[in-house]
Amino acid sequence: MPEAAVQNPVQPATGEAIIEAQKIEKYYAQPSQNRIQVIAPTDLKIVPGEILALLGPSGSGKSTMLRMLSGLSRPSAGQVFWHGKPISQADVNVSIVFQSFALFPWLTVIENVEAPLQARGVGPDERYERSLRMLDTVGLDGFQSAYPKELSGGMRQRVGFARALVVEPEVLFMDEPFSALDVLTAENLRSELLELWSKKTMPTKAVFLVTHNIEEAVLLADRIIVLGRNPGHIRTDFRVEIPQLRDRKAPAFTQLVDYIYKVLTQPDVPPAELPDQQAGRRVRDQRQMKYQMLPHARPGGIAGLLELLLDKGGRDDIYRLADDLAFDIDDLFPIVEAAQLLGFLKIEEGDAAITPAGAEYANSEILRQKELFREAAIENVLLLRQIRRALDTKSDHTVPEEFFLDMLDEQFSEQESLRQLETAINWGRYAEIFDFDASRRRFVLPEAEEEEAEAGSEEAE
Amino acid sequence: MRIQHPFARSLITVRTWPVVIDLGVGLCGLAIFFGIIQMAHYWMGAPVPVMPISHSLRALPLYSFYSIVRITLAYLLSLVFAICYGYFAAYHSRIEAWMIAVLDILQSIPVLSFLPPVVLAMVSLVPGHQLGIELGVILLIFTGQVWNLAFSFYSSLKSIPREMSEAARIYRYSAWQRFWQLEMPFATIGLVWNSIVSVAGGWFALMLCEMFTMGDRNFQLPGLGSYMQSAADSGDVRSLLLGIFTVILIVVATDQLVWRPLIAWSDKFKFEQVESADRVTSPILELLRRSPLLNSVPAKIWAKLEEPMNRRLARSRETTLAHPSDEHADRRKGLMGYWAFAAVVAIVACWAAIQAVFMLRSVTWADLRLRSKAPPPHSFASIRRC
Repeated sequence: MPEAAVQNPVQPATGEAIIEAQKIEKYYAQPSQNRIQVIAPTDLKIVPGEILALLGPSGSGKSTMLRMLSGLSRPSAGQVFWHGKPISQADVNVSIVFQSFALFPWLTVIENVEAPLQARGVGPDERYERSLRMLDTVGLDGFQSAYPKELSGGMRQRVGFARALVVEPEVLFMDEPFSALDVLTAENLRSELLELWSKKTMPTKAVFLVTHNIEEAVLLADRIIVLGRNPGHIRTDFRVEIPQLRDRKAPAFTQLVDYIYKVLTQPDVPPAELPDQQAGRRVRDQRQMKYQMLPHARPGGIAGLLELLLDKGGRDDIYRLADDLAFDIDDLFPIVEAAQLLGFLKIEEGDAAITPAGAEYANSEILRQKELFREAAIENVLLLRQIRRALDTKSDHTVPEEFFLDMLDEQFSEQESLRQLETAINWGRYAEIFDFDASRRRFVLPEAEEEEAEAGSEEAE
Repeated sequence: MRIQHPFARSLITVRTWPVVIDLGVGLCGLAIFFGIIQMAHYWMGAPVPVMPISHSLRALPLYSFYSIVRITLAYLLSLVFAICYGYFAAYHSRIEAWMIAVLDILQSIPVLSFLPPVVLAMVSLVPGHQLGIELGVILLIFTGQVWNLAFSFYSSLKSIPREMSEAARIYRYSAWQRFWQLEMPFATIGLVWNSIVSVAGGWFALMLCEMFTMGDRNFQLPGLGSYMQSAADSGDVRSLLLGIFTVILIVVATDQLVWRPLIAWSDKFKFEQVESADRVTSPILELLRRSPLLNSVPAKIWAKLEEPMNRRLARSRETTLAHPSDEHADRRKGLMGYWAFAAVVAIVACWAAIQAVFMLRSVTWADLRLRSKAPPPHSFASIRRC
């Protein structure tokens, strides 16, 4: 069982949990003795007053978790409680906003919104009035007699929200509600949701959001749970202390996003210390945090990704990229992160967007690519810059590996230091920043440059 | 949205049209009422297995009427049966495979094989009335129509998108509401197209079943099928052609008056994200849509029926509790219910079989070999049997 590290243990919030899961797990029995474990035994509480975001790579069972907590799916073992009563015997009051909206195309907008009230036996007049009011709240005034297919994606999801909220649910579940929408619409809806939530326009006491978009989680959530997989389990569970309305460009925000990226991209490493989220102040300034964490990606992979991205018009959703490549998202993350580190692409709301430098790199032939990579690496990667500088300064132009390992050890675990150096060597060799003599475990200058350097020093003598 | 007409004259047409349409709708209602009376009179009369068939042109409208009523009733029966069967098969995972296998076997049995037992059973079930024989024939037409409808409904239920049935579940739809707001609409398009196929199959069965011989007993019911068969038997080419022409006329009229409006109407059940540009249009449907009578009365009646139902269902246990979607209703009830159900089915089947044996004792083996009255080689019956 991997770690269940919780560094910033979530304090039991005020009031009792609305939904409490005790050791719930999900597995599918196989005809043979063994079974496929989808979710490992997990405890989870949904308490009033918070937006809880569930993040995780695909296959970590986010949606399964949502369905178990909402009572749609029964855990294979363990128990879900609704206000202390087993969920299958309780009068549960929840709604779900679905990724695909799940509206009924043969009903008009208002009929779609009225349907849940109808199921609860609300009379026609009250039903109509409440639905109309809810449509007004989500900004769909005047669209009540339209059919869903006449509306844009964003408006359809508004109907989805209206339908979910019209029953005044205690807990609002959302299953990747914004991922089928374009970037702007999603952004718009997110901020409107936040407004409804913070002004208490909706009577909902807690929101449970499943998402794969890290920024979305950090933007909305009061508490974030990151799931790992094989089988699904909680890797970290922490509170987001940045006050609303959050600024995506604020250091505290970006640091938290980076932190979650790291947790997600390194499934085998226990989550590190959570960055301090006091606005404006960074926990570790540049001097303290000497080295960036190098993502373990090969330069060839970076080139491949950039070329693909260029093919797709320079911008694409990371998850879609992974799908197209039939890559696991966890395998793609390091490559994306490496390209980002080198300034070849930018991450914007789950989209990877190629930068001019990246486009040039992808379009160049191999020698020019190496040159560009070298420039970018020396510019952006401290470790590579240091190695190169050390080699240049020393008279014999060689430096032992241990020298850098010692420096890295201050910051990373021993194992991670080794991996960091391995990646650095990989990159350095490719970009001909330096060479590495594996038999002597020493960094050396690339042969051509070494000769040049020799000649230079001889001349000087 | 209605465009406001600037001219008073067109305003008058806009206003008067609905009244005319309403009148039309009312007249149709009256016609149906008259038809029912006529039919009841005929059905409740003493059984006359062999009705003399007139070859005159004037007999054709009445014969067409009888045939259409038979096909319509058989079709409605198949629709109801298909929906019940499909619904049951789709939601009872324990017997699902069995039900589908049975359906598959039944659909591959030709219509005529059902003839002797069905007619005998119906005649003995409703003795003393023409209704018995009629029901037998209707049931036979039914066996030619029902199977594809059942398959269509079943597969529609099975292909409802997961998130939509989850929405129905999380918003705690009662089975009733789920049926009318999710399952039925989702299945409508498949049912409409399959209905067209079924009714065509119904015509085929009708030609065979209105006139047949079982052993030494002849059956001959007034209808288009008998008309054409007897015309063919007696070599009356003119009547045969007239009969064929009438069938074509009825088929075209059905297409224009029933199927096209239905297809155009069912367009709203299309499961699509954007509105498609080319749609089937139907002037009849447009006319009907403008009828205030049709627009308000059925909706009001429906609301009267549905509202108390909704309120009662909302209080029931079924809907106040959340039911996990990955467990079917039958799991909860456990095995006992199933064994009880299977036992009841077995007992009923045994009883029916014994009854059938008693009934068939009077019928010799020769009777079971069905022969139409010496059909000439070009008749429909012989085509069917080829």
